[in-house]
Amino acid sequence: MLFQAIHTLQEFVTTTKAVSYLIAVAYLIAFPFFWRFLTAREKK
Amino acid sequence: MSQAVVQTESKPSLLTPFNVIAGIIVLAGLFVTVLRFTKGLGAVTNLNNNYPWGLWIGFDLLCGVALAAGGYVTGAGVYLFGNRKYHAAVRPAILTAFLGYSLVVLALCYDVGRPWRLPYPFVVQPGTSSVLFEVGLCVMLYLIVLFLEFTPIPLEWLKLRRLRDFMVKLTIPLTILGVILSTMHQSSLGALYLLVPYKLHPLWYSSYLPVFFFVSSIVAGLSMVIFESSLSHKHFAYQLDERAHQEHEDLILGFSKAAAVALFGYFGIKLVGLAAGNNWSLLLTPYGLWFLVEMLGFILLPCFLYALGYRDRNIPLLKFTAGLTVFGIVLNRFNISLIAFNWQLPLSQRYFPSWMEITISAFVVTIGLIAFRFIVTRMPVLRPHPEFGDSH
Repeated sequence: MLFQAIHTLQEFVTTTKAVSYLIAVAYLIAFPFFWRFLTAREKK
Repeated sequence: MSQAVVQTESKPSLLTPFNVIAGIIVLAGLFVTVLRFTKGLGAVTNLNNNYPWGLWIGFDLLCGVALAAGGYVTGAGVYLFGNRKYHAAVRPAILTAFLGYSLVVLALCYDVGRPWRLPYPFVVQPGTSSVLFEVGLCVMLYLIVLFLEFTPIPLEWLKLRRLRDFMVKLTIPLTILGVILSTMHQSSLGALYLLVPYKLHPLWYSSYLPVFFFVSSIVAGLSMVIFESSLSHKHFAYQLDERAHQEHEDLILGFSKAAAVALFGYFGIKLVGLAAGNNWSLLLTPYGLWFLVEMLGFILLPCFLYALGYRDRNIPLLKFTAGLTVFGIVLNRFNISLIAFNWQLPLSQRYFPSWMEITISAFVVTIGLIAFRFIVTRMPVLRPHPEFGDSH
């Protein structure tokens, strides 16, 4: 999808939205790990 | 004889390195100021039809407004989100923001053609469809808010108790107003560049520019509070007791944690903006490599360093990271307003500021430092007033 030529606006929006959503999901998964890294040595 | 020696030794010298350098910059700035207002912009700047906005807008305005965001960020954190343990940081942050925005307006007077007409957009011809009108209106209103938030400091110095108590009661509504106004104008400064999709490089141009500017202003505000607090604790340490030094460490840790999270989110938002433009192939061009330097070196790296420094309670690392982040925000604003702007023009037609423009920018910053030092050494900013305590 990323490497095929984009001919129409719909293809452009579908491609870019798909990548954006993948990045958002990746971030939602990554954030708890980041938070645990950040707060690992906090005093309770 | 020993008393005379003691008296001689206790008199401070005016010829400190800061005073000498500041004095030279101020004199040079006054000279260029006279030139600018007698001979015009063309005699002092390298601005032209391709670059009507140069260093004064790119640095003094865009960077000045972003770096003065510590006022609303700290106020919101303490008074709206209830983090009262960072209370000691509010007054220095408000002072920095007040001086920052005041100097933004001063710098603007150099750049506009007829500075005496600065109030015209509000009283003569409001351009309500203009983003710049909204920026001007919000900056003016926020400067008034900052002044009102600042007034308890000189009122305590002047011992005007009743007026001071009244102004302190306005803190919460002023903070709310400050957050609203800051959200509006910080994002609108980014929205200005939505007008130039063919002049701004595709990697920096995005319909999310207002969001980028707003989120990066939060990062800039948090980092500037750490940066300014560290400098103040070093140069005005005689004003502070042991409790203040401990609070200073807690402040750096708390703000660093917030900055790490904000930078993590900012990096994600920038990635989404990159995806929305679908310009991945441009990352391998020279401008693309420069974009990666900004993204990886000045967003992702500070995010990681803040997280690492917070985890390990590494105060020197956090102070370094604050400086790195401040530089990164300045770089981002420079990239958008100057470096990636008109990126398609040949090198001979690109803009570089004249020495006189650089002098005026240094002059404005120096005035800010002098004013900050004057206020902090006389008024209850870093330490509470003995008669009023910590009651604000």
